Amino acid sequence: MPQPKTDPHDIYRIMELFSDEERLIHDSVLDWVKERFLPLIEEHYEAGTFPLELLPELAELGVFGPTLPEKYGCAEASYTAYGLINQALEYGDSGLRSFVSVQSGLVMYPIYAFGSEAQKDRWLPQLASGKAIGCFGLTEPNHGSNPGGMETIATPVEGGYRLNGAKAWITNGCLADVAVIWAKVGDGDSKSIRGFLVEKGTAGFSTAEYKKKLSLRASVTSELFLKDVFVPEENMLPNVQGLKGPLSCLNQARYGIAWGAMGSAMFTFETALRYGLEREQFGRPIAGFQLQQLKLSEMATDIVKGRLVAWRLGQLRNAGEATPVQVSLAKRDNVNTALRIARTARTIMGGMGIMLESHVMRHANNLESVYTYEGTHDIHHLILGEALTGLAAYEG
Amino acid sequence: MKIVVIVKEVPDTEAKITINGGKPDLSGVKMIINPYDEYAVEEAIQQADKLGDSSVTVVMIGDDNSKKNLTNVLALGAEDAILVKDAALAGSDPLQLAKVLKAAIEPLGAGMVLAGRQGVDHDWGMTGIALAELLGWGHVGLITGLEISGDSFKATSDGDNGKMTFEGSLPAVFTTDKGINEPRYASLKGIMAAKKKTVAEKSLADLGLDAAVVGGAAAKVSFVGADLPPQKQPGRIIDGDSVQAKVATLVDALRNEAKVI
Ligand SMILES: Cc1cc2nc3c(=O)[nH]c(=O)nc-3n(C[C@H](O)[C@H](O)[C@H](O)COP(=O)(O)OP(=O)(O)OC[C@H]3O[C@@H](n4cnc5c(N)ncnc54)[C@H](O)[C@@H]3O)c2cc1C
Repeated sequence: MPQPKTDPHDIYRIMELFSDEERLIHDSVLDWVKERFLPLIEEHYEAGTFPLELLPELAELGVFGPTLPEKYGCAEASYTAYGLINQALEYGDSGLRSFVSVQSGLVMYPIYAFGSEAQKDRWLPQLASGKAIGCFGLTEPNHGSNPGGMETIATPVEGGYRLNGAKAWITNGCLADVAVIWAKVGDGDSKSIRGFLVEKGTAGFSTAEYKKKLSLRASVTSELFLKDVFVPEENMLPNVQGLKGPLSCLNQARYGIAWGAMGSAMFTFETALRYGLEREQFGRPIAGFQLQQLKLSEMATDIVKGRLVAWRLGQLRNAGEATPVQVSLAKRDNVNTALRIARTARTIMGGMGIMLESHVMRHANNLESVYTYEGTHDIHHLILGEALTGLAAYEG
Repeated sequence: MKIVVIVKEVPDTEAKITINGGKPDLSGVKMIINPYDEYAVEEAIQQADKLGDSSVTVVMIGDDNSKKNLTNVLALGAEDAILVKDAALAGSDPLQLAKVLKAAIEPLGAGMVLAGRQGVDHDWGMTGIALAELLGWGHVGLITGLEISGDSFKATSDGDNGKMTFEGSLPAVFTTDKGINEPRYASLKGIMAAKKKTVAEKSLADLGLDAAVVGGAAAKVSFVGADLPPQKQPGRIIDGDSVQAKVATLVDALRNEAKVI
């Protein structure tokens, strides 16, 4: 087999930009993904199940809420380390990364940032150790890109609130022990939005799984139904009100996705490159043909750029300075890049590319969801558009 | 109990190593912890957990670049590390290295030493055994099971014809084989904790050793060169119109070309 003349995995020596500790964290998670997760993914993807049997190992690795304080059982790692964890996880599957993004960025983060001491003490250690699973309920059947229009209502009653409404497309919904549900209080506008911790088994709270997904099949996605669900006062997140609550969570998860997408791209690129060097047509490896080299060259270049964007974003995030616009740009463009690379990898692999065992089409299919969730690709253009012009183009 | 693990670095087993002037060219090749030593580390950590009130010290002979790999071992759960580094040790043979290890380990008051069965670079498989001899301790090699109770141990190893069991008393040296355990992955918490752990660096002088005795210049056995295995000739497919014709060509080739019949 012909040999590459440069390290195709890291042409720009990007790994040198991280600390020893961060590299070690990345390598440990990536080793785990390759040795423990990848052998199981085909079976789960076909069955449409998340490999829950790996939950204790994921918790032991420490990937849930890795930036949060030690006193909750977390590692207090840097945001760049958190980014590299996402990259390593999505090298395996976007569904695996989604599970961790939801648990860390959308459930542990709001409890940590907006919760009471009692809520933190109760939930964070359980979520860090994988003993509890969480989900995040923002999207509704009638409100996706404009969550501010949500219809779920929390009516104040004696000792707490009564919740009514429905949530759609909720990752881990059926699996969750605790759901962070966003609802308007009274008949208020979006400024009245509050977060509630709704526990599995609460009367009036039920879930249903979306069964026929063609994307993110190794991730559980559910609808949530709330019918006169009583939530005691102490289960409301006390320290945030309005859309900025859920949006600041999304900012956490989007940050991780910007990194995760590059992990997926690295996987599909490496797979296509290896295949191109091995597969011969017309008496020579297909990677030797100019058309295929153009594809490989573009993929490799785009990965270098996307990883550098993620790295820079990580530095800004470590300093507490990353803005939502910067996060939005990186989420949108890195996911778009990864999707393009996965599709191109599929073409290089010809017929083999459509097979589950080749893995690249699984990545491409997954990324269709990643492209749409956490703010669609289009909406992220509007976010940057508004930042560039001062003119909001969302409505009217 | 203080448990000591000795580990060494070897070239990455996934790296493509070329031979240059009769010697392996290791420039740019990543060094990793010897895979057999990973079992020793895991066993040490598990034994320390089981025994309670125990800790694991890692001892490595290495150079300035070895700290990274030592940190990896500390991240797995070892308490502290000793890094012996001295330019004079380049080219030292296993017996000399065992003398160095003995000097580093003896003051620790350890109850046992664990080591990998062999380094996957030179495949000598001697250091652990030589260390046991120099310390005057018992030794069981290639173990796949270990039980400690009080001052005695029961160790098993997988022989060609079945399992063998050995009993003895501590302190002792064990070398670990594949299958004794499942080495763990470094956890984030372990990695974050590792940076607060200490790596004590020692030179030969610190250990009271003489380079003229343990240094590479005085080695009784030296590694002088390596060759890659010869390239296999591609096979040949014998064509022919009928089975008879093919067999005739084959017999002719065996008799006159390969000269084996
Ligand atoms: C697998 C999966 C998992 C998910 N997990 C979660 C979860 O855990 N929690 C959660 O709350 N949500 C989750 N979501 C929901 C996700 O965030 C929404 O799907 C997303 O916000 C888009 O909403 P929508 O699907 O209703 O599409 P819509 O908002 O209806 O958008 C449809 C199309 O219209 C475009 N569009 C909308 N508004 C505009 C505009 N102003 N200008 C131009 N174009 C516009 C969009 O870009 C898109 O192309 C998940 C979704 C999926 C697919």
